[in-house]
Amino acid sequence: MHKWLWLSLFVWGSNVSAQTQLESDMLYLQQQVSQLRQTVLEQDSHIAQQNIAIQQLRGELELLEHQVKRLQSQRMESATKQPKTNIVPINNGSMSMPSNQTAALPDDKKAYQRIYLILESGNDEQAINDFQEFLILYPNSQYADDAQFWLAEAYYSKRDFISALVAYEQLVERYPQSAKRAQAELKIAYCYYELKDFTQAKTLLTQIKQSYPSDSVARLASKKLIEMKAQ
Amino acid sequence: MIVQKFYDHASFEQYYLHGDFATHRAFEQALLDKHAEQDSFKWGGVCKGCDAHSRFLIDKEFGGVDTEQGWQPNWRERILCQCNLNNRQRAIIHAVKDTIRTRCESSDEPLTLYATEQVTSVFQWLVNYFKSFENVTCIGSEYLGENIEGGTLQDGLVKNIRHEDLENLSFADSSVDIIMSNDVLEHVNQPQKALQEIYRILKPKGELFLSIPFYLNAKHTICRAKIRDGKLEHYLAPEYHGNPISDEGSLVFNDFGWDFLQQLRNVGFSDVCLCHYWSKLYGYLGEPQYYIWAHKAR
Repeated sequence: MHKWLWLSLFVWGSNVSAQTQLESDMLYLQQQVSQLRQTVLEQDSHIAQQNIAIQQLRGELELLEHQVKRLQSQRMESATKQPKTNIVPINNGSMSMPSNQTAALPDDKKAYQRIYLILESGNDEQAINDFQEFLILYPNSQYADDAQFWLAEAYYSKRDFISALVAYEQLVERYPQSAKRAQAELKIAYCYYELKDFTQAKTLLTQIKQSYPSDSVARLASKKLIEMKAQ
Repeated sequence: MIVQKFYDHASFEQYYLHGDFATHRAFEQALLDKHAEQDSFKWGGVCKGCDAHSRFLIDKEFGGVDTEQGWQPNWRERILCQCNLNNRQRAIIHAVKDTIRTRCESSDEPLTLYATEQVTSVFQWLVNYFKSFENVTCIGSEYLGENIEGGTLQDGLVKNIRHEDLENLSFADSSVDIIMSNDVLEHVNQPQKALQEIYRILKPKGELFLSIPFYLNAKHTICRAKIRDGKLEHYLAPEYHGNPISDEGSLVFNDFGWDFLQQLRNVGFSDVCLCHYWSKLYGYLGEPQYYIWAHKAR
C-alpha cells in the first residue's frame, strides 16, 4: 500500500515539474519573439531613415551634376571663342580651369581635354578640326589614340560614315595596342551597317565576337547581329 | 592607308619574314576559303577613287587561277570598284591625290601633273577630279609610234591624243611637279634614258609615282628584249601586255628587280623607295602590293 502511494506521489510530482518547465520555456520564447519584433521595428525605422538619406543624397548629386554641366558649358563657350588654330597655347588663361592646375599639365593633355569638352558640347565640326590638328601636332602623345577615336566618333555623330570608317580604321592601323581598338572595330562594323553594306557588317561583327569573346563589344556585336536578323 | 617604305631588298625581306606579311596573307586566304564555292565575291570598303563606300568585286578575271586548294584572284588587277578602278589604280591615285592636295593646301603656286597615259580610266579620273582645282593642270600622253613629233596632238582611236616618247620627252627642263607612270616603263627599250628624261622635266622637289611589274625576289633586272641598231632582239620568250591604243599589245623589254631603285638614284633622285601598302578598308589586298616613289631634291 505504502509502496503504491509513494509511486503515485512521484508520478504526480514529475507531471507538475514538466508543466512548469513548459510554461517557463513558453515565457522565454514569448520574450524572444517580442524582442525580435522590437528589433525588426527598429530596423524598419532605420531603413526608412536611410532611404530618406539616400533620397537627400540623390537630390544633392543631381544638383552637383547640374552645376558641373553648367560649368562645362561655360568652359566650352570660352574654349570655342578661341581661334581655330589655338590648340597649343591653352595656358594663355582662356581655359576656365584654374591656371595653377593647368600649369602642371603637359600641353597635349590640356589640348586634348579642351577638344574633348568641345566635342561633348555637341560642336562636332570644331572638334573634328581640332582633333585633326591635335593629331598633327602630337602624333606620339599618350592621348593620340583617344583623340583618333573621338575624331571618328565626331564623324559618326555627324552621320559622315565614310569619314568615320576611315578614322576608326586609322586608329586600328596606327594604334594597334590602343584600349579603344575593340570599340573602334565594333564601330567600323556599325559604319558598314549604316552604309547599308549588311554583308560586310555581318562579317565584321562575327569576327569581333570571335576576337573579343569576353569583352562587352562581343555582347554588342551579338546584339547587332540579332537586330539585323530580325530586320 | 599606311605606306611602308623599303629602300632595299634586305629591308623588304625582313618584312616578308618577320612583319605583317604572313598575317595579311592568312586574312586573304581565309577570305578566299570562305568564298571557295563561288567564282566571285564582293568586299566592302572605301574607294579613294570615287570617295565613297564600295562593294569591290574580286573575281577570276585577268589571270585568276584555280588551284587544288581553291582559287586565287589577280589581286593587283582586280578588287574592282563600281567606278571601274582596280586595286593598283586606286592605290596610286590615292597616293597622288593626297600628295597634290597637301601641296595645294600649303601653296597657291600652279602645279603640273604629267601622267604617261591618256586614253585610260585613270587619266579620266585625274582630269575629272582635278578640274575643280584651279591651279592644277593634268597632262596625259601615249606613245603613238616612231617619227611623230613629241607634244603634238594626234587622232587615232581617240581624238587629240598627245604623243610622247619617254626616251625623248618634249617637255622643258624642270617644268612638271608630279609624274605618274603606271605600267609603262617595262615597255620602254632604254629605261635608263626614260628615267633621265623624267628627272630632267621634274621641277626641284618634284615627285615620281611609278608602278611597274617589279620582281621582289630579284636583286637584278632581267632584260627580255632590246632594240640594237634598229633591230629587235629577244633574249627570252616575247611577252606582251594589253595596250589601250593597240590590239597587238606592248612588248615587255625588262623584268625589273631591286637594282631598278639604284638606277633611279643614278639619274639623280635623292630619295627612292618601294612603297608597300595593304588595307582592308580601302580594298588594297593581295600581299604584296606596292608602287615606287622617287623625289628630286634639287
